[in-house]
Amino acid sequence: MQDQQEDVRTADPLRFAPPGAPLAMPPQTLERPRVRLIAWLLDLGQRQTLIRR
Amino acid sequence: MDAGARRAAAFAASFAVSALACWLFFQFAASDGLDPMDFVRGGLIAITSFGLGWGASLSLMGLVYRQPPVPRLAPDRALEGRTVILVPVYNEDPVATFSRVAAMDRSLQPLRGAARFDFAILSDTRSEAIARDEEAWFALLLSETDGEGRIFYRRRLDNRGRKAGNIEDFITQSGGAYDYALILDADSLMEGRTILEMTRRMEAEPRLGLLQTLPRIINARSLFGRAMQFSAGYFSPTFARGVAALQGGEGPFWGHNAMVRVRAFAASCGLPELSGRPPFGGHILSHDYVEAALLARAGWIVRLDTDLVGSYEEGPENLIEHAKRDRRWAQGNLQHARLLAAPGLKAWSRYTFLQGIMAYVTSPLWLAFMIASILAPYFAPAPNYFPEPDQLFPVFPVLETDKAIMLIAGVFALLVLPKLLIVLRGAVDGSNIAAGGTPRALVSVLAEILFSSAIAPLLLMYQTRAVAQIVLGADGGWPATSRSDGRLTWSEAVSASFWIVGTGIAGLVASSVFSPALIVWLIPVLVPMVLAPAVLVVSSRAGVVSPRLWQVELEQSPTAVMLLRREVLQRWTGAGHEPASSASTAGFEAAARHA
Repeated sequence: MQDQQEDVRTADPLRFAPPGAPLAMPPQTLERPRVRLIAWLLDLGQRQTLIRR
Repeated sequence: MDAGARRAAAFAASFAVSALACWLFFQFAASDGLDPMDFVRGGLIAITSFGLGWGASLSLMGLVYRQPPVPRLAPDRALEGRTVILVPVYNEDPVATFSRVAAMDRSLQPLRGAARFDFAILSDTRSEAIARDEEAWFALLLSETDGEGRIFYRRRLDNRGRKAGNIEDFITQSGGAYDYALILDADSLMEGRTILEMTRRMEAEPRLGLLQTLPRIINARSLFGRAMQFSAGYFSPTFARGVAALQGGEGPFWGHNAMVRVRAFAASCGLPELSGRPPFGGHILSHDYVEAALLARAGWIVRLDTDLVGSYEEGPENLIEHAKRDRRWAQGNLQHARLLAAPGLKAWSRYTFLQGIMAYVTSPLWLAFMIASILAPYFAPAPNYFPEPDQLFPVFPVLETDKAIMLIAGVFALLVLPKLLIVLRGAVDGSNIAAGGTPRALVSVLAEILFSSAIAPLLLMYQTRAVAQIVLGADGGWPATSRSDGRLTWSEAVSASFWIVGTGIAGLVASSVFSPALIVWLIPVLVPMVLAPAVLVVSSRAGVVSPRLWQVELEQSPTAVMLLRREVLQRWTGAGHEPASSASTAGFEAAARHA
């Protein structure tokens, strides 16, 4: 495995490819649902205002 | 005393300062009768003096706090984990950036365990011309360092999420190959020994999610740059110890010159897009504070080790570049208003967000206080010299001017006293030698106080405009200043500050009409505003003051990695070594202007 990784790295150093080792980075929850709802409603309101103009 | 008790002490001291300032103000204001404008000013005093008290508490805490010993690996224990050193770049000069990588690599290679470190240059560059230069200089970097297989370069075609998205892209593609990632900025430079020591500290403390260093500013040339460099070198270690004393294991992260545990970072720091539109919605701009809060929420330690030296960065060389950067930070910090109520965060993380917001909101509050003070006599009730119906002699109101003078003296003391105490401590512990001895350190500190007083009104105006623009959703609008030495021309300075000059003149006229008694106190604020173009131009020039003023040790005795970098840069920009597609740094500047 290590040898394979070295091969990938040195094959084309300009293309960034250190050992292909994906790692999940799930988006974290930073807003409570009601905050998202308020932001969505405000955004909708803004859009409506723009459309009317 | 633990971090909680220290926080309580700092809060109590700040509230006491705020209460005292309010009491002095109302004693003064009540002498000629209270009016609604006095209550507005009282409120503004309460908030702004709390901030001043907090800053002073932080520095006093830093003067006395000693960080407890941190877990260390046994000296003979070899490193087990792999570390990647991430260098995100965005339209930067590749010669300047890649020469730093070469220097860090050479600093790292002789050390035991060097084989466990890779570099990854993560380009988000949008300009094709600069991207071509990056590839050419990268080829030279590889051949010089024999870095194939351990120094990498990749360019994203889509720069979603800016720097945070750039790092996230790396983690999701290749993060599994590494245990630790040292996150740098394009202008960061670190000693190999420091990088190695950080990794050893990460390995010694499995609960440590992020380790932040205090970067020192280096290579400053202009008056402004050298003042910042002195300030960062002489005052910042004390302020940083204060920060470390209060944050405990819950921060801070300043976005660069810090190491993260890759799996902790991946599991806790995926940033969502905030609902709604920018400036308050969309991508999170000031991602570092949020990532520190998310790591702390997940139970990881986020620590600032103030004893780690050998961590450097470069700063802006003029006030306009500083204000442009500040504009971005202001928008990022105000966006944190959306996250104050984020679920599960530690109370301290929420307070850190609030502090970041207040750091920018304070400027418009100070301005509002000054405007309210100029206009206050206009709203004041007319004095009643005969309060009793059959009074023979007039009763004159007792003016509590001494209270106003005490208030102003108190504000000045909160700003200046911590700096003078740092000189005193330097004289006692011998650290003033690095600044040329105690007398020269004292002169440098007094000059820094004068200089920062001269630029403070300009920063106040730029921050006030930034906050107003962000709240109104407007764009910045700055003149282009692309010279690498940072020198500003008079036309650049005038176009960046004509509105400040206008405000200063309006302030002088208004105060002479409405409150002539105040004008003496407003002159230190209004005169630098009227002279703003001169302040901008002169502070952007090198050689204005003696090099012995604001002397820092790193100017006199550069460290190993700084010398290595200087040598690489000289070699690369000198005759002989020049990649085919690049026209040297001058060519980069042309490309940057084109971009």
